Amino acid sequence: MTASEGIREVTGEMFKLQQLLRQTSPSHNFTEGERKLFFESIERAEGALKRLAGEARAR
Amino acid sequence: MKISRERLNRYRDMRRDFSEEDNINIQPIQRGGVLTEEARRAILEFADGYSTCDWCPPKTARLDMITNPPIQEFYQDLAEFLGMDVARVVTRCREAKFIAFKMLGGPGDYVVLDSTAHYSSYLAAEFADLRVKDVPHGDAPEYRLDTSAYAVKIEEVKKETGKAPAALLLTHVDYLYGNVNDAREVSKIAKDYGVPLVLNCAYSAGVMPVDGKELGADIITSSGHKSWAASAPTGILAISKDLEEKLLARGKVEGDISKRKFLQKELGLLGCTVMGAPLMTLIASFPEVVARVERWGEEVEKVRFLVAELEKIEGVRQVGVRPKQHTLTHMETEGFFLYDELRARKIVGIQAGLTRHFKLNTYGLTWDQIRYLRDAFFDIAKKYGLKVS
Repeated sequence: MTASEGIREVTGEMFKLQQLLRQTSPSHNFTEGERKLFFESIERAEGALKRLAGEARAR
Repeated sequence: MKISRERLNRYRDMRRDFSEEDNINIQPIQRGGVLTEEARRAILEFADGYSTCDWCPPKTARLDMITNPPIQEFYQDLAEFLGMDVARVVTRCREAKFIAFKMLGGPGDYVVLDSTAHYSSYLAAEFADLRVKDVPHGDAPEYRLDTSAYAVKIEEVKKETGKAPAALLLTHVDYLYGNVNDAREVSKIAKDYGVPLVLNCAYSAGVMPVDGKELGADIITSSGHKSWAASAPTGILAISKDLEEKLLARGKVEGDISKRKFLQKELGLLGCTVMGAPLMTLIASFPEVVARVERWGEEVEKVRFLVAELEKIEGVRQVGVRPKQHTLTHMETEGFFLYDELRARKIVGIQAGLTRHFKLNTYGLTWDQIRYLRDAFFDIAKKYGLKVS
């Protein structure tokens, strides 16, 4: 993973979250499916951030 | 000239007044332009100035010749999707109308257009040195356009000038009432008189099915930022094969000393048009746009439900053709202050002030959001002592 790809992955996941918030505003009463998508997206973003940090430290 | 740091600070960290993530935006011109997730990614990827032009072919340096990113392919798919033969992306729908008028007519020629047309249709005609005659619409509450009067107006033009108008323009869906006008009837008149029909699909193409061949349009104009989930500025000009040569004529000018010529450039477009992030949002949203027009029936179902619910409030009535055929909706009330009340309930997009008339658009809202809107209006009505039947 290069830094730029990592950044793309994180921002991409943030866009997903943003779309979910837009589709459910203003109540944000997530269905089970939306809730699952929301947290999966956060997990992927966290994973990408950790890999990014790891690679940066190793340089 | 130096600009003070204090003044320059105004341009830092600019934000909208509200966030779409925490509010429901029912602004009538904004619903169809809400970006898809793919379009948001495309903005970042192609945000730099000429980033779409990395692979512009040097011998035919033109936007529609670029295949990486697939702009050329997109133009072909766009034309096919609209039931037309050729398509170009221009800066705005009004520019598409101007190009059509400019290339079809000459100074003093007429354009016959509907009286519910957007102001920019009139200005486009004026800027192209054309005169206008407008086709009347009926009275309240429906304000239905008298499409048969196009023939009367053409006859008027012929009597006055000895020749037919340069073009007819019909606004497919008007911005005032959201009425869907009968394009087939107008295209039949256009064909009878041999006059090209410009169909302004700013509020239709991209949100509802539009097939230019089926509707009999010679030219379709549309707005990416109104109806195609794209950033501004993006407009669409789609043309039938018969008019391609005329509308997309190439430059003929030659420098008297340099002898430079620009034979590859399309004159009306002044060469390349939208060569950046807005074009890429239009392209990135296209797959979703193709899919979403198939769901138009449900969009109409949602707006009809909301209108029926809102009309339960004392003195509230929908204006325009009934039942609704489009999500852009004009409502009439006995007058109450909606803006602040809606804003307090996280609903934005209604004009501020005393609201005897207001417009809204439900396009793309979920059923939950539609019911939330209904409940908010009921709540406000009760607060103001209005009966809800």
